[in-house]
Amino acid sequence: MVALKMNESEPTIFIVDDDEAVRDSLMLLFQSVGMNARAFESGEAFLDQFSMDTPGCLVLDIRMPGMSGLELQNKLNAMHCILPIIFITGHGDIPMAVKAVQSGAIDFIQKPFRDQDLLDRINDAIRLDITHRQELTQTQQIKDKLATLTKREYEIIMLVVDGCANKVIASDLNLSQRTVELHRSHAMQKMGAKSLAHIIRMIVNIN
Amino acid sequence: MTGDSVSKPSHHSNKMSKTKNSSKAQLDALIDAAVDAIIIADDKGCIELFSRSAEKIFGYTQGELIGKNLSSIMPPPYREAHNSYMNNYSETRQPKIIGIGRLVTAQRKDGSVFPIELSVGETIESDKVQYIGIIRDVSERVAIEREKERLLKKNQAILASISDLILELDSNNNITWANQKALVFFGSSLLNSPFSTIFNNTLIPDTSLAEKKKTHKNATSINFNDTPLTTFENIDQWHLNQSGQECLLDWHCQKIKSEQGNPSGMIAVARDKTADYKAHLNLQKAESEAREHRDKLAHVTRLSTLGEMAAGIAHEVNQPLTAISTYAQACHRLLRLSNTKTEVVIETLQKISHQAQRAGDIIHRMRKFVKYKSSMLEKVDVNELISEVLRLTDSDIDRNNIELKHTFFENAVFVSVDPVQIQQVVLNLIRNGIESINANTEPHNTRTINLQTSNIQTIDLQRKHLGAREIEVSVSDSGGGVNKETIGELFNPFFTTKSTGLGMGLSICQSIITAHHGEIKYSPNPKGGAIFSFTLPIALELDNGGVENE
Repeated sequence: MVALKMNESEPTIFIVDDDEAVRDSLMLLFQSVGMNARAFESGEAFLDQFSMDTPGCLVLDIRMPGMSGLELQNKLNAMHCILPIIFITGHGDIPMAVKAVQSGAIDFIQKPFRDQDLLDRINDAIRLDITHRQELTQTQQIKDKLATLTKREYEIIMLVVDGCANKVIASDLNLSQRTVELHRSHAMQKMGAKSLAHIIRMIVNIN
Repeated sequence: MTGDSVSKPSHHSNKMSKTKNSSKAQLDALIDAAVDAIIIADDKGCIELFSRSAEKIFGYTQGELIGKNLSSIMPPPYREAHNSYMNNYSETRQPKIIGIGRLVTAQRKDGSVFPIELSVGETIESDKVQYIGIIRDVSERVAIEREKERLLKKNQAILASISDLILELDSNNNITWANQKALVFFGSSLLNSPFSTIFNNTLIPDTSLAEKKKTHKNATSINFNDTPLTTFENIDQWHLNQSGQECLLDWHCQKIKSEQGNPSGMIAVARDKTADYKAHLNLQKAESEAREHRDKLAHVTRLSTLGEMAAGIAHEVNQPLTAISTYAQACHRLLRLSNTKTEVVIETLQKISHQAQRAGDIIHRMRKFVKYKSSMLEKVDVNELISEVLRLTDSDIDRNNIELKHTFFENAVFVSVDPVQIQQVVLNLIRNGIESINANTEPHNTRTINLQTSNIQTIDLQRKHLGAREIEVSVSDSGGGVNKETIGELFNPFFTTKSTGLGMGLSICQSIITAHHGEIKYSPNPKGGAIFSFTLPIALELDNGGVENE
């Protein structure tokens, strides 16, 4: 448990497969390349134990008794979980795999697979997840900063981002140009924006 | 005797005429004491004396008949002809009956006609002619003789119509008599030959007998010696008849006992059962053809079932293959690392081997299931048999997201069956259940199949032995059930409600179960869906002398 906590911020490969041998062999493979992995025998067990905060990816068997892979995917989507999913499928499961990709899975791989193919996909997925999480963090930071602005400051910043000059904003809001400049400067300081281009990028990002 | 009794009265009557008075009483006593009826009539046939026995025999009293004509105690046509007989005799003196005695018929007062033995004598004294008739009622004797004759004729008819060979043997076992069938079979040299010679010399050759014994378990090969035969029954023996044909005779032998209870000979009866035997062979052949046909059909159906299950089986094989491949690749990577422990690699290699075994088992199970072999009975545990089927259907069940529950009878239940064919039936019923559940579009459709084995006691005494026990295997599903209109057709060949499939499944199931002396039936599931169940007779004891099954 302690080790788990320590690794929580490290990328983890989650394996969900009902076949014990498949789970066990995947664990060994990830261990052989020094990757962090956890295996679950069912979708239910995974939902019970995983943490949304852990980055990584999900290697998911599409065909399982009880909750199927697709059902788990839908549940995760509903929870706004962004964990990238790589489906492992059998030969006859292509239509299901297509559906899975349409629902946002990043890829699927057929059993039995070449280890390198799987590891490549996993690495891509993890990289994507990390980027995604970073982006999410940045967006969240911007959102947090935006929340510190007064109503007037927010109003003026939005017009600035829209490309309005101070003069135009002053006339639109029926304020003096000086007041507009003051609010704008406060807002830029609160947002930590160094330039006009910077603040524009921030706002576009969160939208 | 009759002749004597005729002459005596006339002799007596001569004496009587000399000592008339003393003899009269003697004569009366004699007449009254005689068992035979004595009637005296004059030359016109007019009755003058009618003895006490005559009264008894004819039912008339003397008073009724004295003075009446003799014709009153005669039936037609003698009645009408009698007077002319008497006239004829008076004229010609040629006796037709007097001093001769004859068997004729008489008539009682009640009109009944009966046979009598009649002797007539005549006395002539001072021109007076008297006829003395002595009459004995022989109806009983005649009846016995007739019966005897009838029995003789009856026996002849029986012996002539009977198809068995019948021989009569004396106390030395020599054949003294044979019926026509026996004479035709063994030849007429049969008579006066020792039974053992006839019996032993007509036996078929040993090689031929050995051949027969393959299909005819009861065939015996007895040789008789000359010691007296004892009673025996049901000895099946092959003989050659006069035309050289091999015939199966079923011998029965009974002693004839003399009045003193000593054996005075034997009756040997042989029934020709060749035709029965041939019919039995034909039946066996027909049965074996039917069995072969069923086996082939069952095999084809199994192949087609397995074809339908191919995707599921491929998936099942793919699992261990994936594990093997992944383990091997992991090992490869581990071995390139400097700090890898040998134990990890060894352990993984063992896991690989285990997974290969697992894949092999699936293939083996499949091959065993589709392999063609003619049906062979084996004593197996029903629960074990069904567990094996469940391993075949596992992937199908999972794939279709169905919950399969099974309740097995707690003890092992042994049945004598062709394992693959019974498994085929169970598999078929489970797969039908899956399809029925999939086809059910009702919104609150649960997806369960219940498989149950239970012990039942037979009550159908006509079809089975008393107290025979059976195991019942039932498969119930939560599908849409069977349409009322189509229940009657369920087990018909080529009947199907599916868009795919030959419609052979249930039909072949039925013929398999019937061939195993069981019954298969459909009943609606009270909770919705269908229940298909079949029975199998429980094998009573284990081959290895183990406990008898519950």
